[in-house]
Amino acid sequence: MAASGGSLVIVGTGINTLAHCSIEARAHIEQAEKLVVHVPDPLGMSWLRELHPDLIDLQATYRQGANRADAYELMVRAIVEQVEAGFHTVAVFYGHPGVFVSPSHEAIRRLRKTGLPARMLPGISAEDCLFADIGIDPARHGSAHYEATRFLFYTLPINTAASLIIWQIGVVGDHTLTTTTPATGGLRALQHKLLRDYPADHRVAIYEAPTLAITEPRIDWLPLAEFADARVTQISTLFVPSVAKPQPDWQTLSAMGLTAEQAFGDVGTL
Amino acid sequence: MAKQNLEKFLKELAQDPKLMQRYKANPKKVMAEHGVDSAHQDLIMRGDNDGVQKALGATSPVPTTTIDNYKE
Repeated sequence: MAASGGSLVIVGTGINTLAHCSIEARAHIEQAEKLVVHVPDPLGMSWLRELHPDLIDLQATYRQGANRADAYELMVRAIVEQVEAGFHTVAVFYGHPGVFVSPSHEAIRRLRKTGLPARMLPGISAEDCLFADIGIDPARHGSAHYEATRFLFYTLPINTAASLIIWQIGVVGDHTLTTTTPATGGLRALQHKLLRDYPADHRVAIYEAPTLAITEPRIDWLPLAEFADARVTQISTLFVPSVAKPQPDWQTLSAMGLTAEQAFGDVGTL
Repeated sequence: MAKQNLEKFLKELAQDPKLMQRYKANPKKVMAEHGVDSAHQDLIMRGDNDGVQKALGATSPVPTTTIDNYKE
């Protein structure tokens, strides 16, 4: 195919590809001059091949690099190369292409730096599935999200009045980016860290979004004290509900001239 | 052929809520109607998601979501 001028659109397939991929993303996939794909489920890949038979599959980068950091760099180069060659390129990642995905952001950054157009479309992430399946609205108590290893390695603020969502517990503590299981003691270290702020009997959930239509979400509730011995996979996420009530900010309310009744009273009329 | 039937069935199921409703009411009957072979039916009925993924051609578990290094 002749190149029409380099540009990049990055789209996401959602978690359950055939059900979640947006109409807009699908149209971009179908009309791409070059399609570069990182979608690990075979059913999703089969569907993408129906839409656009000639595609570049990025799965091989995991075998070509010494670790995941290398694999992501190879993914970035594979995407950028097509755009710099003058093709209208669409890169497809599973889930939301910008949520817990580093090569997508990096490819856009590099291309924009050279003046080539690059943008990202939103997709359905595991977080979106979690809100729907567990039935929480982040507007209610707020929520904080951390990547599991980053949460372990840094001192980060924990707000126990909001939900806490910890991603990638399946590789928690793996600083080498080479394994697909938690580092030795990783789950226990995470449990230990959470026990500084939450009681041992606080019920937390191990969540896994369904990747196929036939699959139900995994929502395993267990006391925090038992978390370290739980079975986790590469798609497990830890959900920690809030345990404290937020305290009113009387200073701000006073500055705004609001009483407690005005700020917190029920204004519904039905 | 068995793999193609499984693929086709799962693709239809993901995009047809009425089919999903019928499947939930009587999974074995609906799978048989769609030519899903008995070994694949057993995997689905057992809830063996990894087994289904392997039957579809997955060579390894779903890889971890991509991440950066932990350096700031």
